[in-house]
Formats: sequence, C-alpha cells, structure tokens
Amino acid sequence: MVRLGWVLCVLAGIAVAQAPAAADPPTTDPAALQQNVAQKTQEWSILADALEAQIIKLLPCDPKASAAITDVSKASDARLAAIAAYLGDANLRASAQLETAKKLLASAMAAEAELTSEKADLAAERAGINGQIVNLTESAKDKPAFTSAEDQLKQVSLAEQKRSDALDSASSHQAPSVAALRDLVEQLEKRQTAQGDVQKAFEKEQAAWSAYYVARLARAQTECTITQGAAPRTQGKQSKQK
Amino acid sequence: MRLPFRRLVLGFTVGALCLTAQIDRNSYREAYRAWREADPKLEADAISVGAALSSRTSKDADLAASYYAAHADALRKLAADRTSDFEWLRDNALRTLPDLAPVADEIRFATNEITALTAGASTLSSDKDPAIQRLVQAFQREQAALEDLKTSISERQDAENQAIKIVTAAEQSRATAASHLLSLSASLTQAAELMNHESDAWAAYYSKLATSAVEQKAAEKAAADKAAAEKAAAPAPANPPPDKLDPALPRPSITPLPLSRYVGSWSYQSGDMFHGPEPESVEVTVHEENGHAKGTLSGRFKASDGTSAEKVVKIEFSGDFRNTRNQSFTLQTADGAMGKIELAPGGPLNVLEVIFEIEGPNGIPQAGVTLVKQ
Repeated sequence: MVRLGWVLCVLAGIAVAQAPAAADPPTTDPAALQQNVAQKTQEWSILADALEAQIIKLLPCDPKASAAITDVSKASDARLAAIAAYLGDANLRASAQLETAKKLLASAMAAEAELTSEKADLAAERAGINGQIVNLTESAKDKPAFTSAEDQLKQVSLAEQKRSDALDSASSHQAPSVAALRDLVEQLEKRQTAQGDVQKAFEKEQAAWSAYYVARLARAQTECTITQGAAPRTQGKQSKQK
Repeated sequence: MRLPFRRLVLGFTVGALCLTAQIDRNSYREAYRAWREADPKLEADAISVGAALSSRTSKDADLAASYYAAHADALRKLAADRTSDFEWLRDNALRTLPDLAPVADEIRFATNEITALTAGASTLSSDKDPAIQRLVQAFQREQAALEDLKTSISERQDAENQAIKIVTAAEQSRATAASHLLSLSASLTQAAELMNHESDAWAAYYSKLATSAVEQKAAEKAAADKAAAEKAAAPAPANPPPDKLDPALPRPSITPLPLSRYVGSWSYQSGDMFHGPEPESVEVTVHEENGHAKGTLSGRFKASDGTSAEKVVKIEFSGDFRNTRNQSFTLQTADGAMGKIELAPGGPLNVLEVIFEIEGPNGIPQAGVTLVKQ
C-alpha cells in the first residue's frame, strides 16, 4: 500500500519533469493593458479616418502631408505595440496556468494512492471490529447484561460503514478528476501553442501595417516628385518606418 | 528517452514534494496499533471481571479516541488539499482573448483603401507619361501592401478562432475537474466528520461494556444469593403442622428493595465518590436476622487538615429494617461515641452509599462514601 503511494508519486514527478519549467504569473494588470490597447486604437482610428480628408486639401509637396501620414503610422505602431504587450502578458499567464494545472494533476494522481491507503486502513479497522463483535457475542452468549454493549458495538460498525460509503463516494470522483485534469493540461498546452500562433500572426500583421504606411508615404513622395520634380521636405523629426 | 537535466531536477523535486505532501499516516497507524494491542482479551474477560473492567475500558476508550483524532486529522488534510486544488480551478476560469483588433473593421479599412487606390490607378493607367507611370506604380505598391495586410488580418483571425476553440474545450475540462474535486473534497470532509461520530460511538461502547460487566457480576451474585436462600428454605423431611408457618420459608422483604441491596460485604475503591473526609479504605458488613440489622464499619480517613495523620474509625451499628429505601441505624464507636448511620442503595445493583455521623469532640460531623459490593 505504502509502496504504491511511492510509485504513483514518482510517476507524478516524472510527469512534471516532462513539462517546461514553472513560470510565475505576471504581476501586470491585464485590464490596464487592455485599456491601453483601447486608448491607442482610438488614437490611431481618429488619425487614420481623417488622413485622406486632411491630405486632399494640401498641395502634393506640402510637408504637412507626409507629417500627417507619419503621425498615423506612429499611432498604428503604438496600437500594435499595445496589442503585442497584452498578448505577451496573456501568454505568460497561460504558461503559469499550465504549470499550476500540471501540479494539480500530479497532486490528483498522488491522492489516488492516498485513497487506496485509506481504504486499506478501513478494511483493517473493519476486520478489527468484526473480531470484537465475534468475541463479545461468543463470551456474552445468553448473558442479557451485555445486550446493550453488543448493540452499541453494532452501532460503531454502522458508523464505520457510513465512513466507508463516504470514501467510496470520494473514490468515484477520483479517476474522473484525474482524467479531467489530464484533459485540461492537454488543452492548456494546445492553448499555449494557439496563443503563440496568434502572437506570431499579430507580429506579421504589424509588419504589414508598417509596410502599408511606408507605401502610403512613398506614394505621397511620388506625387510630390512628379508635380515639383523634388521630394517633399519632411516636417520636424520623423522616426523611420518599419 | 533522455530528459534534459533541468527537467529531471524539477521532476524529482516535484516528486519529492509529492512524497512530503503525502499525509502522515504513521502517527495514526501507531495509535491504532497501540489501541488494538492494548487489551485484546477485553471482550473475552468482560463476563468475569466485573467492576475491575472499568479501568481497562477507560484505557481502551482513551486509546480509541487518540487514534480517531489522529486519523481524522489526516483525512481533513487530504480533504483540505483537494479543496485548495478546487479553489484554484474555481478562481481560474479560462476566457478567450478579448477582441483587441476587430477583424471586420480592419478588413473594411483595407478594402476601402484598395477601392480608392484601384479607382485612382485605373484613371491614370492609360496615361503613358513616365512620371504618371511612376505614380501608377506607387499606387500598385500601396495596393499590394494593403492586400498583404488583408491576408495577415485573415491569418490572424484564423489563429484567433483556433485559440477560441481550444479555450472553450479547456474551459469545459476545467469545469469538469473543479466539479469532481469539489465532490471529492466534500466526501473526504464528510469521512473525517464521521470519524468523530465513530469516536463517540466507541466511547459509548466501552462505557456500556463496563456497565454490562458490573451488572453481570451483580446478576450472578443475586442468582447465587437466591440459590442459597432456596437451599436454606428447602422443605423439612417431615411435613410441618398445617396450622404453623415454617420460619425458614422465604418471607416477604421488609424493605421496598431486596435486602441484598443492603446486606453483605461492601468496600470503598479508590476513585469512588465520597464527601467529608477523604477515605483511604472503608469496609462495611451488614447482616440481617428476623428483620433486624447488625453491622460494622471499619475505615481509615485522611486528616481534614491535609497532614499525613490518619483517622481510624471502627463502628458497630444495629436496628430494625424499615419499609423505606434508605435505612437509618444508631451507631457506636469502639471508644463509646454515639452517632447514626444511613444505608442508601445506589443506581447499580452493587453500589451502596453509606452516610454516617459520629458525635463528640473526636467525632466526624458527617461523611459519605460510595461502596461496591464484594
């Protein structure tokens, strides 16, 4: 019985050994990160929606045109950076949840051995009490003074049966809880991969947005070039496009 | 299969944690062994030892209580671990990622831009001016960038949909596991609570066993007394004259309780109840003859001032039995002091309470002691 407990524990340990190192959950506030995304999205949206209407009023080489495009591009970068920060945080949280779920699985597997031990101990108790009932019944045969003691011993036996029923009930949930936790761990591993894929897709989209704004700025420069024969001057300091 | 060293270390650390997290069964198993090995012949002896069983049942009851307390603690820890796991699952419901960049809005934006560019490019495309052609190319590059963007947005949507599907399945597993762990924890908690009831049931059993042993002894004594009385009352070889009652025939008892509740040898056992000076030993004998009681009390009492001095009391008493539960008689000590003594039958058949009072400067104002029949 004790040996079985050791074996299950070692197996649980090996199961965890096959998993990546545990990660602490991040201390950032996901709600604040989400709020930041909403704010950056709104800022970008306002600038992006107004861009064409703003540019159309300007001459092709007006530096305000390229400045307006650069501003929208920067707002787009800020929005996508906020989304990336949220996703990075979500992935760390997912990783921490996965590690905890693995520990819960190991703990549930170990509990299986504990329940086996409980039942074995209960069986020994039952054998003991049955022996007492036999001894008392034999020695107190035809002795009415002992009737109440015999009855009480039977009450003890009934109380023990109730505990046995409770342990049976616990056992009936043991295997399903292990199975559900195993499913959970598998699903959380898949979720980690899937969230990683979302993050990668966003990085690709981020590059596509940057490429679009580079192309938009290039068109504005071409429009200036063909009308003035020179590139428009930039207004103020501009950061490089990705 | 070779596991990376870091994982091996982690695995064995968790394995070791798991082993230390196992509930300590040794302490309650030792308590169980101590209980079971303490008095294996208790039930077998119960019928023969009478009041002497009481100390043995008390010991067993204490050992049983220790065992049940230790085992219930272990069960409660097992239940608490499951409860803690349940609580984590309960507090960590899995949610899909929020819609941070609504796909429909972004696709609409890109499509509108493409439409505008397409219109612009088609207006200019027939113009062969090289400068205009450069502008057309710029339009086309921007258009291509927007198409790439649309593709990226769609791919991201696919990835998000896949993640949503997985999180939905994971959430179902989480809810299932939480539900089973809650039931598991509740059943284990119930089992621990039931152990408390079992402990109480064992205490009641041992108490009843002790009482049964005393009652059995008393019943045997009563049966023996009855047999002796019947033997004494056996008819004489010749029939007595019909107009005269045989004095040896059983007479109706004078007292409301059988005379055996007063008559016989009684003694104090350490731990029995008393009031007044604390007895060290008390022996009482009571005889009955023709409704007349005659008895002696011999006892040693601790001095009331707490010194090691003892008070030795020797009393003789006599008087008629009366039709009352408690019987009062006059007493006289060895040195001539007078007083009174009362015999009060106890609840169990083999218990008698004796209350006495000795007058005079060296007397005892009042003392009471519970005696057991010998």
